[in-house]
Amino acid sequence: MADHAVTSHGKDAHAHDGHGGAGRYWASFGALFFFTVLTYGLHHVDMGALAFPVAMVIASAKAMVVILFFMHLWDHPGLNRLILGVAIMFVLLAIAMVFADTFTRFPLAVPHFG
Amino acid sequence: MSAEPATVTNESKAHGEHGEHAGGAERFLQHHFQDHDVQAQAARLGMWLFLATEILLFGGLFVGYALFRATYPEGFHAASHHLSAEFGLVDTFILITSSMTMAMAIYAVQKGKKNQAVVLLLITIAFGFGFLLVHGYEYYEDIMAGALPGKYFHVPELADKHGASMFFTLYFLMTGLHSLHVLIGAGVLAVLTYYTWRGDYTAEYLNPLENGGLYWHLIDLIWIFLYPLLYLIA
Repeated sequence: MADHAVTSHGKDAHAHDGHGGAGRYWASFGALFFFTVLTYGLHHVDMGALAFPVAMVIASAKAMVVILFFMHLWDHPGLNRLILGVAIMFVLLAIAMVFADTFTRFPLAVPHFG
Repeated sequence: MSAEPATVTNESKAHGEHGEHAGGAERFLQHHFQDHDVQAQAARLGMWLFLATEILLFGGLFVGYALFRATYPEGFHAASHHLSAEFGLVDTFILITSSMTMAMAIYAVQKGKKNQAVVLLLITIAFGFGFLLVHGYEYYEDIMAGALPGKYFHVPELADKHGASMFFTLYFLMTGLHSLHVLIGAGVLAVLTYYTWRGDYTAEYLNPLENGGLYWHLIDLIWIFLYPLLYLIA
């Protein structure tokens, strides 16, 4: 039992130790700041159909910074990542299923909302 | 039973240099957990499960948004033009900065700097209320412009745009639910600030603070998607 305790603490000691330190937080903050300015700047550029995917890619990159470093999924075990991944997957699945339904209907059966 | 003293000794060795008091943290260790690390992992797991339900709660609104934006691209485009991208930018800066101060507050606790942590938590809460103030002013402007959706909707330029009212329905619902989360988050952080000030949290035991931080970061995370989806269409 005592041996097990030593192993588990040896492994997790670094996880408790500031999760990579303040430097990692400052780098994350810098990245978030940069991506925010970038997405705002690109908003003034006419990119046509590319505008939406580009904005979503930037938002996803920002989200990954928050999830991995501020929320520490970079350091923490796989189960927490799995929970987040499954939640996101179900949101995407719900969007896909709603689209698959609504945009394959007989046109007159599509509801119109002002 | 014999593992208990060994656990304490190893904890003290692993974290001794940060200057917190191992004895103080022991009273927070539930008897059914082997040690603080196991308890912390269980607490995190529970919090992530809760965050998953939060993502699904907002997910329903994202699904509605996706459907109506695909149905009325022009109406959404014109309606989004009515929101100020600059106010949204300020909102975003406030929230990412508050996420930074939140993370640094936990880091300060881990380093045994209690007072610094309390100040950082208070700054985080202040940013939360700053966000609500800015957003409240945006709501005021939107409502004055006649952008309340449904039967109250009377923005002259958008009168002939199908979907514009639906855009504002989703705008008020999504940002309203988000602002409610900011308010709850600030309340949770206020309680956690008191406990931090009282000295409950150390490098060994800070599960409530860590979970409060995860909630605050989720609020930031949701906003990261709301900003381009609502403010940056046009």
